[in-house]
Amino acid sequence: MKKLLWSLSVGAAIVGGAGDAALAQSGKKSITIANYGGAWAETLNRICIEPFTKETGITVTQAATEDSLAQIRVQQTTKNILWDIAPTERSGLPVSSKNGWLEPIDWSVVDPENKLPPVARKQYAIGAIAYSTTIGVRTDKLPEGKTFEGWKDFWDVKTFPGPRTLRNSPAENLEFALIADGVKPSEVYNVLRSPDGVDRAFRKLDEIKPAITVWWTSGQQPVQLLASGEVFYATAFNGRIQQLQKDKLPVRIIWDGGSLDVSYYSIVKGARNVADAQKFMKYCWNTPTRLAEIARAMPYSSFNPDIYMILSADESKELPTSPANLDVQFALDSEYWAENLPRIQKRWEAWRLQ
Amino acid sequence: MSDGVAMPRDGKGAARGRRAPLSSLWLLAPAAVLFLFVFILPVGEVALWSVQGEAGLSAENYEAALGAGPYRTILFGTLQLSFGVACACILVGYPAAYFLASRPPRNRTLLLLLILTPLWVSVLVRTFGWIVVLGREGLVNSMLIGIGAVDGPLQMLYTRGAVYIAMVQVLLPVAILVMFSTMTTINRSLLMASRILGASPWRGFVHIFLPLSAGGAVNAWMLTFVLALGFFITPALVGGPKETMIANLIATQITLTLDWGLGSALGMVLVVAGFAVVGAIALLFRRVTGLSGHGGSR
Repeated sequence: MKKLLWSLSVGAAIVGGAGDAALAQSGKKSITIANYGGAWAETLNRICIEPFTKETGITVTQAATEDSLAQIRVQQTTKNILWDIAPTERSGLPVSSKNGWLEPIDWSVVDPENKLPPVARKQYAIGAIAYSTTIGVRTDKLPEGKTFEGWKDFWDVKTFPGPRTLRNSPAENLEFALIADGVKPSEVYNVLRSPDGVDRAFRKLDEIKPAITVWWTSGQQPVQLLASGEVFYATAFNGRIQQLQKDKLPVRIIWDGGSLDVSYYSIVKGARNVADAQKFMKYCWNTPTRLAEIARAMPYSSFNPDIYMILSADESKELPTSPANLDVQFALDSEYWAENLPRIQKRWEAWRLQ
Repeated sequence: MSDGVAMPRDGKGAARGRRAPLSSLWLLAPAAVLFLFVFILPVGEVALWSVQGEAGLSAENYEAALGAGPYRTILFGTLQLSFGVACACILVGYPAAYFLASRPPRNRTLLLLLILTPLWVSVLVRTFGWIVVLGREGLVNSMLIGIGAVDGPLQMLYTRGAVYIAMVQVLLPVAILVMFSTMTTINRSLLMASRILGASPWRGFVHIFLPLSAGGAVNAWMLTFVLALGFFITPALVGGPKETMIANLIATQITLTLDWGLGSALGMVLVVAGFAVVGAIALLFRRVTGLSGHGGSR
């Protein structure tokens, strides 16, 4: 880890230098987007980057990252800015804005028609798409004649026996515990912010702990666990569960009480090409036709309501931001977690060891 | 992964009066420069972060890391697990290395290749392989249920046993290679001589081969121990909460809570603890046996 950080900064210096040289030689404009590889990066390439480069002549490079926030911090402390656009979901946005590591978004360029709701229109970030952490249920393992409705049933190991998995993270699990305890999804953060809120959530988590065979860490894990029958009930990103459905596994998504996570993208302070980065944000993440295409390619969707005029009702019903699904979920409050994660994380580690 | 801890070789070179002349010290220069830039300097920087508080120097990060609480428990758990894994690697690997070293050289290549092939497969893939084998509906459980040995599936995944199996599998080739290379330098005519003088094969092994190969086994132990300290993917995927490794905690502090001070302190504690255990083992080995890492080859 230590070595990694150092080599990151040294590597950053080398790559950065090389990039400069290449840029100076070609005289072409370019932007660099940090991103989490995989299918999402490929989709972005096909739907946004290739046509964008063709139309504008601006080359767009995607740089793979797995820990965006730590790398933003490294680049800011070493004053060696490699990225123009970087993902800032979860604690990323509040922490980076507070530290002054981001450029404000020029909304007159990115969203001139004012289509995005406030959750996607932040001072320092655009909510590009949203994904949900939902419950995935192996329908063939359900007790006969019973339907699984949501968090209350996840906690009800008598009616729905069988192994379960949750993510190894206090964020979102404290919320789920409160919903299982009877709190309305829209109220979870009010309860969490109240003096007894966190204690109440941990008390509820105590009940389910014996039924959790494993606390998952990487997004592919719960899907693998569901597929192999290792667990019957799991939290997982909605797109991954839908992948299982495509593979004809008897799995159902429960949107009720799901945690809506916004995939934010920001422009890094000191970025080389702020103007073109804004242009790209508008082109890719706030143009309904492209957003609809993205939603068709992967079940992750934008907050721009116009996409639902393009998509059919059938296509919409499996998307996290479709009106019906939006109503029953809560949006993960990244400000709450940026403020409280260090404290609660320690309690979480201790609680897991008990 | 844990950074390289220097393997004490023997130290007997000096005792034999073959001290390297000072003029050849420059041979060390490339390694020293590399070591300075990729190890000493970064670790120094991390050490600095670990003692920086809100206002100047502070020991708060070390208090958090070493005071009573989850971090200390996990640190001891990591040391204990790595200790066990390293011991298991030696116990399983020693006979294999012995077997290899007693083959004629031309047969060894193929066998060595067989031992090395698992190293070409990513650790992640190998770990997921164990999930398939040990799972509820996995290979072992299906077989046991099929032959009627058990009624319901056994819980094998997410236990300490699963972590042992998966980590030993990853580290075993390393242990075998280190012990094998020591064993090939052992002069086999010593064993023959003992037989001629009337010793049984077992006695020859215990009195000649075992002491001469012990240094290699200790080196292999130290190497696997240090590598095990830095594991985190495998225990996270096949272990339960009690198998949380200190490396997982460090990753959480660096990437999630962004508390680099605490992350650095945990890292420094791990480095120091690793050095302490390896140093103690090396000292103990020399004190107790008076043996060096290799011998009998001349």
